[in-house]
Amino acid sequence: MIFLNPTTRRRLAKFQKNRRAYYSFLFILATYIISLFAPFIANDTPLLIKYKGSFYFPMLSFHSERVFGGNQDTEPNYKKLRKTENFSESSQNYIVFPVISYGYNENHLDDFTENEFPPTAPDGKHMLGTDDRGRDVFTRMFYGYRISMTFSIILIFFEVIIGVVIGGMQGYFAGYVDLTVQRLIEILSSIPFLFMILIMGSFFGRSFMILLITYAFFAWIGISYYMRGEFYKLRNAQFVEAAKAFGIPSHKIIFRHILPNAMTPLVTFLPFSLIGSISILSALDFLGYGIPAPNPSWGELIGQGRERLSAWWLIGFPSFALFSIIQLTSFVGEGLRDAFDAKEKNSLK
Amino acid sequence: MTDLLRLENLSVHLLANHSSIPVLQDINFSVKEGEILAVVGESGCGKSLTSLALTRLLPEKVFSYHSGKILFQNKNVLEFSETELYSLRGGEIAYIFQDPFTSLNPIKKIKDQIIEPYIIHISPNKKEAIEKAESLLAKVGITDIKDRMEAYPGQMSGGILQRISIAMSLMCNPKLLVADEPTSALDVTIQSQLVDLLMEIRRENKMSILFISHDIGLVSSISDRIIIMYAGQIVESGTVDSVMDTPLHPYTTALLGAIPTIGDFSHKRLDSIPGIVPAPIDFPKGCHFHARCTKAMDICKTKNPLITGRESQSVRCFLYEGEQTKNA
Amino acid sequence: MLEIQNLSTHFHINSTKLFQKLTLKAVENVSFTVASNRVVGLVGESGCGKSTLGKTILGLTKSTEGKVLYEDKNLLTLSNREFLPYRKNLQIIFQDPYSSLNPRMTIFEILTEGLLHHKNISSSEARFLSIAMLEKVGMKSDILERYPHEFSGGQRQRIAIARTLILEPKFIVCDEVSSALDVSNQAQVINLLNDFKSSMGLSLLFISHDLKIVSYISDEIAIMYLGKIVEYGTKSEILNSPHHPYTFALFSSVYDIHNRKKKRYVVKGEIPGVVNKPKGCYFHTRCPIAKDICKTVDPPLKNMSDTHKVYCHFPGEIG
Repeated sequence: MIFLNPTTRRRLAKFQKNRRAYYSFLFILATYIISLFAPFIANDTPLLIKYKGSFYFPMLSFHSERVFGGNQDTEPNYKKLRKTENFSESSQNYIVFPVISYGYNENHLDDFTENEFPPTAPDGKHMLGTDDRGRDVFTRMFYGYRISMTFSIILIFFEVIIGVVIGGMQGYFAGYVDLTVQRLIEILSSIPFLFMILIMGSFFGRSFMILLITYAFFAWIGISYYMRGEFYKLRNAQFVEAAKAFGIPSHKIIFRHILPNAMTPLVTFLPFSLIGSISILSALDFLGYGIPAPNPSWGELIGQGRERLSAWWLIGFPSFALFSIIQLTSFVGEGLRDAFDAKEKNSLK
Repeated sequence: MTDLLRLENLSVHLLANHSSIPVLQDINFSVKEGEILAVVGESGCGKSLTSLALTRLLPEKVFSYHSGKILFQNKNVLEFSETELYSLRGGEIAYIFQDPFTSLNPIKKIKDQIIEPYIIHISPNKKEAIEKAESLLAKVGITDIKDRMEAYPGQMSGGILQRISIAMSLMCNPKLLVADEPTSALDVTIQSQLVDLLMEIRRENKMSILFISHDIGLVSSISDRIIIMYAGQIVESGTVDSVMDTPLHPYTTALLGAIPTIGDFSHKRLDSIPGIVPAPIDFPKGCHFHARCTKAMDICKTKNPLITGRESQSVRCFLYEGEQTKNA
Repeated sequence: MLEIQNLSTHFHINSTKLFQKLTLKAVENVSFTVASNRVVGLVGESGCGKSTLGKTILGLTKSTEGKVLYEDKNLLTLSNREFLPYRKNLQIIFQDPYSSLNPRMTIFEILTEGLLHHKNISSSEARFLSIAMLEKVGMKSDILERYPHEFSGGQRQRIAIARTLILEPKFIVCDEVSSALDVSNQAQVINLLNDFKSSMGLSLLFISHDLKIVSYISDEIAIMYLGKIVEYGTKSEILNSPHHPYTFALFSSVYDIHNRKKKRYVVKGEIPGVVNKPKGCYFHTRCPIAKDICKTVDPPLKNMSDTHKVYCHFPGEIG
């Protein structure tokens, strides 16, 4: 119902016309979707092995070395496998690696010559160089993108639900409900965010989930302010009064009348919320309090670079990527804001 | 009596994307010295645009004065230089608008606002200006003048503010007062007071008034002449008595029939006009009113009628064409 | 049918002084009756409380005192749930057609929301009824899937009327329904209301500041000033023999296109603020015949006839 609304359609069309915003949006969407398939694009585990007539899919199931003629029960080193006798004796045996045959945790120390120490500068083999453990920077950035975007998207999901419910309640019921919740929010927002992260991290150990839960605990506050304002305004709207005159109960009024009309600032707020969470997550990773190692992230790479300033690629590329994503997202945000602009009439009256 | 203001075949276009759409077409009227001319019409007819066009107040990038002349004291305003325009506005032609809360600056004291026109147009002597302001405020019936001067617009009621607006517009003794719905936002009893005040000022200063309103009853009681506008055109004009007692244009007739008369116990049905007023982008070919007219003929759909009639009453309608020569 | 007794609505507002509570008495001690199939017009200027009165009668604004008797029940004592079945019969149409329709709902949804809530009918039945209703208000039935912003003010107001009438109410409060419309649209809306009044046996409380329209449509007229009724009577009583000075001034200030040169009585002074109302008779500050007693004593009720009431110390002297 909401989406087929000609107003919404008109706004989407206006957004599309804003090429800068629209292409930024497509770019972010495309790169995110691609990054979801990261394990199939950049991995040191092959997609497919044909050995002695049978097909093996090492990504889907575990095959130990013995299967391929080795004598260990662990997973083989696939790169070395190619070179073993059992394999290379027949040309029928082949291994298909993903496009980028590096894993995000795979160190390439073996590939280095005598005088080379990680991190190495970008060259033919590693487009963006390697980090301080000899891991491919591009692959780490690729996976890191997936993690931070996913984190932000899940975060947005939760903060919207919580923010809309709480802000909506404040705005609609007003009076004591509003005052009480507002005081609670003020107490909550005076708790220093960084310290909470540290405390939660040291108490429960650092992990994606702990970080997400702690962050979500605070992030909904911004949205609740918007929703509170919108609900406050809309509860006095004449069509709401008309619905009350028909005897429509409160809950139906909230969902059918107020909520659809309150969504507008929410949509324009979301991209900026995304920027916020990506930035903060990167900052936390930079300081070492974010997503724990060895998980890849841009902030962590930049953190490595801080200690080895001569390894400019460790700072440069992740920073540039961070800057780009934030810039593109802000284009999307601006585009949405313009598309949803209240002054939609072009006549003068 | 000479014409103080005369509009000759004025057309104003709206510039949109790459085209220009007419919003005012072929506007012809005149205001003599000391005369009250009423401009009447429903919303979207262009009456406010006409009032702003007089002193080229329409934003330049959006509107273009496509053709015609605006003659004030026989000089064409469309050819005025910047300085001439500035001296015209507020000096010889003054405006009062509908909502005094937005037409007066809410963050400036009354004293500072009301002397502004005087300082700009007549003399930079602040003391003189304040004296004149106070005398005008007394004339428009404001009590506690010293307090009012020091106060801000938000502290007063609409009726008082509108009186202050009138006083402000009189600071430079204008020859023409353009009043755009000056009483529409006011209560009925206050409206009566303001209207009486305007009439008195007109009498004393021999000032002309261009009174724009949608309230036909009001303007017909105070004006000498009246113009009916519809969709950017003047459809009928003439002396108030002629137009009110013998309306010619079907729109005028319908409009008058839509207004109930107090004291009429007959319960006769009110005339309503089916359809809606077309926006400038949808102005029909031919007569702008033909789609809603009960007396429309074939020719009305394709050709725009010219104005025919005398000084005392003229109309733009094919029902009357051929009766008199065209009236400029 | 609907009897209002001593109805008062007071609001508590914040004052600039600490610890000072100000009471805004929007409606004070109003009593009148709306009979079956009659239109009662309610007129007054800013601050008279007519809109507040309309909403209080329907329970949309909380009343402070008094009763609203409908079918022998005092509506003001009912809880929200108990009031529900009465909502179908007691309706309201608002002034602003641009904000009284939810911009995100289709016309069909708008028309049928109340209907589906009160009656147990299927969606297709509701559709059938809404098409019939739209035709009665002079709109085509193909608009059901459109949205409010596609229509002009006059059309939206007709949709708002259809939305109310589809419930077949007995009593409708019309709160300045024609004030935001152009003259020709006003006429259309008024004609519609008149037609429905006859065909459906409706009663209307017609609130407006436009005296011409109120005089046209009403059977009885009540005049309010600063929260109180100052005069009440049948149309001919009020128009032909107004007894309160304010009524006299009010109707005298109307501009009549056919009686352009009529003598007008212009009352002096500004309308007092609603918070600090004058003592005694509220109108005494502007009344041409005010005497000492008017400044201190509340004007009493005087019955000029069975149907004609005035609250004045010296009714009829203004003539």
